[in-house]
Amino acid sequence: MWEQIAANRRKSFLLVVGAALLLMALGWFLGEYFGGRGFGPFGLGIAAVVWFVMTLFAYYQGDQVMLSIAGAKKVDKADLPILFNVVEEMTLAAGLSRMPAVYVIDDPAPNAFAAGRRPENAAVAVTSGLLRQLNRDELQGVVAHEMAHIRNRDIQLMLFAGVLAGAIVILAEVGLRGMWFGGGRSRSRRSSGGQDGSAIVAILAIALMILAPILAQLIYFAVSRKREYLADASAATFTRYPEGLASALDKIARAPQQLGGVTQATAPMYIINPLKRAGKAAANATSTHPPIDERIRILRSMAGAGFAAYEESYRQATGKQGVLPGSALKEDEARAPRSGEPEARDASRRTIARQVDDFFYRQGGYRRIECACGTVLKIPPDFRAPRAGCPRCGAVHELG
Amino acid sequence: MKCPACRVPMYAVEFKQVEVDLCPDCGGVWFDRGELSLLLGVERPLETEPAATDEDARPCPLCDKTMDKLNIGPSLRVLVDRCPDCGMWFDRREVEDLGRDLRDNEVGIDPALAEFLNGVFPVKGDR
Repeated sequence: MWEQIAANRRKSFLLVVGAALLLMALGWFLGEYFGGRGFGPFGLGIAAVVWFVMTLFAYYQGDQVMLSIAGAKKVDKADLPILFNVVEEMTLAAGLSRMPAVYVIDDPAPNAFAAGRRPENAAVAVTSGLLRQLNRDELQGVVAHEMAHIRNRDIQLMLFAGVLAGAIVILAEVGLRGMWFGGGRSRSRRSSGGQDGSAIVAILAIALMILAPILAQLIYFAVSRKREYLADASAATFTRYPEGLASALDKIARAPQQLGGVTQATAPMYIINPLKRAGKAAANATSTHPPIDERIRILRSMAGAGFAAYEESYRQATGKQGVLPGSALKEDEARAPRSGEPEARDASRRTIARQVDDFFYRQGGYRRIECACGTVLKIPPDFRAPRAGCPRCGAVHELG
Repeated sequence: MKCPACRVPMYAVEFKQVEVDLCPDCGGVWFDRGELSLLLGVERPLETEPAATDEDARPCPLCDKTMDKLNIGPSLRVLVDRCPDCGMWFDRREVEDLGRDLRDNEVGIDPALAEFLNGVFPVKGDR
């Protein structure tokens, strides 16, 4: 298994090195363009410093920033016992030494992500919409997918790739703005003659400023897409029930809500791209995730619940060679899918939905009144009426 | 969350793990989209038909967009407001009307929904 992670890392490492070279080239040409001939190394230095500072910050604060941008709240076992149990189970199945912290985001759009710099201090975040719409098997599939990202060290690499892409975008933006406001010594030099070299530099600088952010995004997306397949395959292995994740992806993809608190930089972290509607036109070239239908089809036509079954199913669905690292397939145990029927009528959904609602009611300062007839009234803090009636038995509860 | 008809804060009522929001003034009932899908399942949604009515248009209590007017149920005789993204609004007695319609047409419904409707919105009187 470790070998597989290493193989996965090597490919991504190349992509990240490519992005780093892109960043340096951008810095160099910006230096030449704005500082004049000979200022390239200076620009490169600035680019390196920007990247270094951002990386340090992301390494130590990245997960916290990500969780707070998303508006995630930490939950305890007493708050959401079912979610906690599922995370505990999947921690064991994934062989992680420590259970990740569990966060919930109050947003009706169903989605999930993992964050953290090491498996030992990782976090899993799910939205309340996800909890309200999925049954236990589906929730398990989603959590297993996130566990796979943690175990495969995807979260760490995505953090670095994201920061690199972010640094490139920032530099290019600064450069383009500088040019807009007429900065750049090359312009004055051009008027004083001897500008052959600087004209080329200027053209290259402008081209880089425009192309670099696009290239950076493409690299970032390429890194993230490969990892989604591996995480899906791992989730099938951990749960031995590919249908759980397949059905969860189906529900998430069909949900009409748009997730708030998401930026281009954090989008690839989610189990399904939350910006799917924002950029429909360029959806395929720049998609952070493989096509959802394809992911579902692969999971649903798996003949077993292991990596080999996933690989075979991927080949049939896409007609491509394969997608998983060879070492994963080599170490694959023949896993039989878990037996059992799909959960009848989503019985666990109601329990999960009530747990998540009650958690946010407590957070929101709702008052809880248990009526003798078996109903529970939940009174919001801004409730104006002096009493509330039970619709079942007609009892009137004074709120005083 | 405010009542789409009277704009006063509503309270939530849970019975047998099903939850609805009630308006303390008009007695209207809000079924969250999630709650509806818990009860009705995805495989067999209720019959619906766009309704022609002069009843006032109402904003969705969650997203504030104007809701659609729909006739629902087997005989399409219960008029509700629906936000396609967020849920459905029943005026006072309309949930009972729907229950009666389902019973009269002998539509088999999910036991959990039946239990909830009989418990909280019982159909009174004979057919």
